Parts: sequence; structure tokens; C-alpha cells
Amino acid sequence: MTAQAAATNLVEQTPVSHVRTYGGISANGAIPVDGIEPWRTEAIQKVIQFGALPENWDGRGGVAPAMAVRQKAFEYLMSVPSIGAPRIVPTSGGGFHFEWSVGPREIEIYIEPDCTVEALRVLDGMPMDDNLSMNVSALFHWLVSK
Amino acid sequence: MADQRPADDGTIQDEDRLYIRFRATDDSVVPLPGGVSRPMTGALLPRRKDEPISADLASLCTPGETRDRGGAAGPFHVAIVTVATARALGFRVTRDPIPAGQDGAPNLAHVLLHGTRLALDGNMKGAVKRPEAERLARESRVADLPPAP
Repeated sequence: MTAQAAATNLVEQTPVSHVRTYGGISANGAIPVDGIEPWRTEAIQKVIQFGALPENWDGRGGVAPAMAVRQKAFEYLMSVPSIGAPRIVPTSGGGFHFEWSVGPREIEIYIEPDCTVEALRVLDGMPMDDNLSMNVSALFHWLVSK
Repeated sequence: MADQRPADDGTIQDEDRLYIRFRATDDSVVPLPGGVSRPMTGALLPRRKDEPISADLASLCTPGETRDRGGAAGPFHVAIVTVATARALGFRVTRDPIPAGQDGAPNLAHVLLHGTRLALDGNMKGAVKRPEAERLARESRVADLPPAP
């Protein structure tokens, strides 16, 4: 081993392509899409579709969620535990509202047009708190707790 | 903190009902027992955090008119809730007729529901808190209307 190789820890990488072809469609095998649960895929598809809402889609001057807001929504959907599909609606200002229900408990997540995230917990139909800054793990732990 | 909301309009009867239009999407309606349904909270939220909720008075229009008003493409649903319920949740209800020449106008039935969210200056100006919108959505029922023409 030369002094230079030891200092830089050079590694010779065998050229390899991650591109695979399935039925004529190329996919990068390095991106792990196989493991995404169907509900997450479906939710992400809804988020993508809402990006194409027309101007004034709600008759109140509503705007479609911008790319940055959709990206935030993707990240949020990928970060939550696998407890099933949320209800998803776009909000008039260009954000999203997600809602998960387990028995009498609900979590409402608001992704705002400025990409901030607000949460609201609901128990037996009564809102518990506003603008909750609880982390995702604690929120969903509460949702599934008895 | 000062309550700078307009005064509740006493000429609007408790027994009157409010029609709130919202976009029909896969998840915008939550089915309830008994074959009825309610809107999802996010569907009722105003465009901006500092705005009140917009509605129409049932005494001055039909739910079909609320649904089909203006040039927006839709499809839309209409949520129904009584004025008394909105007031009981803390909303002030005021008339806000929209004159001819504006989008969705003229609309003499138009009213605003003022909530208690504090503005950035610490005063109450009619914006709506999430829990207020949430409870309003829970108390509302989606109108069973014939298909839009």
C-alpha cells in the first residue's frame, strides 16, 4: 500500500447500474419503493393530485398547495408510524389537513402554506389543545394508546 | 387583549341555519351513524388564518344556490348548521352581503362567522381557532342535494 492510498482510503468501486426495467418501465433499484405500504402510496398520490387543483378551486379564492407544501406533506406522511390512511383534504390557503382516527381519539395535522405544521388532538369529539408542538412519535403514541 | 370583532347581529335568528360550501373530494365528507355525514374540518377553514368563516343564511337562499353560486368549477357540498349552534360555540354572526359585480355576487345571504383566535397584535378580530372550526364541523351535517345541473 502506498502512503497516498493509506491517507485517502481510496476504494475502487465496481461500476454498476441500479436501473432495472419492468415491463418496459425503467426504475432505479437503489430507491426502496417496494417497502412503502399501499396506504402511504395512496396518500402521496392524493397529495400530488391536489397540486393540480385549479385557481379558485373552492369558490373562495383557493390556491393549490405549492411544491414545497406538497414536499412537506410527503415527508410527514413518510415519517408517521404505519397506522393506516389518513383522511386528506386541501385547505383553501394552499395547505393540507390530515386526519387519523383510532376509536375515540383523533389527530388532526395541518400543513400550512408556509410549510409549518400544526396539530390538534381530539378525544371523544372534543378538541384537546390548539397548535400542539408535540413530536410525531408522541402524537401517534397518544393516538393508539388505550 | 381587546375583542375587536363586530357585534353579533341580533336580527339573525337563532333558528336560522347556515350553509357553508366546501369542495367535494374523496375525504371531505365524514360518514356518521344513521346515514348522515359531516364535513372534515379542513374543508371549512377560510383561506387565511386571519379570516372569519364564510356562510349563507338559509332564510335568504337555498342550499342549492349556495352550492352553485359563482364561477368556481366544483364539485361542491354544502354543510348545514344552526345559527344557535354557531353562537353556542363562541362565534359571532354578522351579515356581509356581497354586492353585484364581485365573484359569486350578488349574494344577500352572505354572513361571516367570527371566531376567537387572537391576531398577531394580541387582539381578537374574528379569525378562527382550529378547535372552533373542528367543533363547527362536528356539529354540521352535509346536505343531501340533487346533482348540480
